[in-house]
Amino acid sequence: MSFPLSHLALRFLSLSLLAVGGAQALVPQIQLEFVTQTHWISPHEFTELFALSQLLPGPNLLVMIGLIGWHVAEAPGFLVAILAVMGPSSVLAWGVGRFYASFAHIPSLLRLKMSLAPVVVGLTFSSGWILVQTITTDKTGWFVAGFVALVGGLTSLHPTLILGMGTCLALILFSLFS
Amino acid sequence: MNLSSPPGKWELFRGFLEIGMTGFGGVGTVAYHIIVTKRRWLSPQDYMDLLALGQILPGGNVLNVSILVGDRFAGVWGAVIALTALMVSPLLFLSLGLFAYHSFAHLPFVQILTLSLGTAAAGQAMGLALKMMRHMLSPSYRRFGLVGLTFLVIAILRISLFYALLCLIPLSFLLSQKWDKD
Repeated sequence: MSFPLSHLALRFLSLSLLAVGGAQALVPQIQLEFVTQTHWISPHEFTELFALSQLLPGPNLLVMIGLIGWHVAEAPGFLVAILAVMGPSSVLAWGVGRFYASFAHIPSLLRLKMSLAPVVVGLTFSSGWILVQTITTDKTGWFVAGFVALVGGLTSLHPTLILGMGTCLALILFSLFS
Repeated sequence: MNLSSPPGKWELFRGFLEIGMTGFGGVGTVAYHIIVTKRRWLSPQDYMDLLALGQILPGGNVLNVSILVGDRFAGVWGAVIALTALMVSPLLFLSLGLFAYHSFAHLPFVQILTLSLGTAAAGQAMGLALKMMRHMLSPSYRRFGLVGLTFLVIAILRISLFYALLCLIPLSFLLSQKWDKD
């Protein structure tokens, strides 16, 4: 499939400043644009890209965005997607950092963070929800995801341990029931 | 706690390279460990300040922190170097991972493993939200309504993120101003 890089760049440039609270905020929108609306990526491929991004060290969701770029336009797509999604937000961070340094310890920073918190939490939960919805087609998947969510949310076990346990549980249940 | 002398460009590069290299399953905790505990570039308070700023700003939190830390110690080039160093090893691992994956992707076991890992990781995102809910929102349970509204608009109604944020951010901001006064 030929895919204009400028198209890919525009999509991710326009998403960059919407990543409120981190790149996970973009997952529902990426799923909407690339899977549901345009069918550039199948639900199965979306699952593969997400799973692969979770296996690797580093900023996972940025890696996933790079993989999406790779999927639609190979290596140039990979670079374009990552640079586009990082560009505007990085420049903004740099600029605001400069400004902030000259007004160090503004107390309202914490209040601003608190006032955005409900939206960030809602976006993070939505991102997990949309992922489960895309990945799984049956009750078993929802059961595993719900179990992992509860263990992760209510205990302070190490995230990697929880991910490992959840993966094993899913492996067993998927082998038994599908 | 004694801070070390301010890092130069080379030390920034090495520090952020290490963060990117060891941060399996998210780089947040590793970043704190290396910047504050191990290399002592920033006090915990200063780090939390920069992290709060990095979280408010759009974009990856640790990416923003790398830019803020790099710029603070070595200007624009410091920011570019820190950001690049953070990304180098994930991208290297990624090319190796892609290569390995494409060699084995056709195997049924790999297929079911991918599905399992994906499902567990998706559950983990929801777990992270639950955890944030417990820690960040406990002072005021009224905020749960906003969490629910965000979820409804984004995940159920599937409204475009741009328009959703255009309404949700001012609403969240105004409501918490009001609640703080009460």
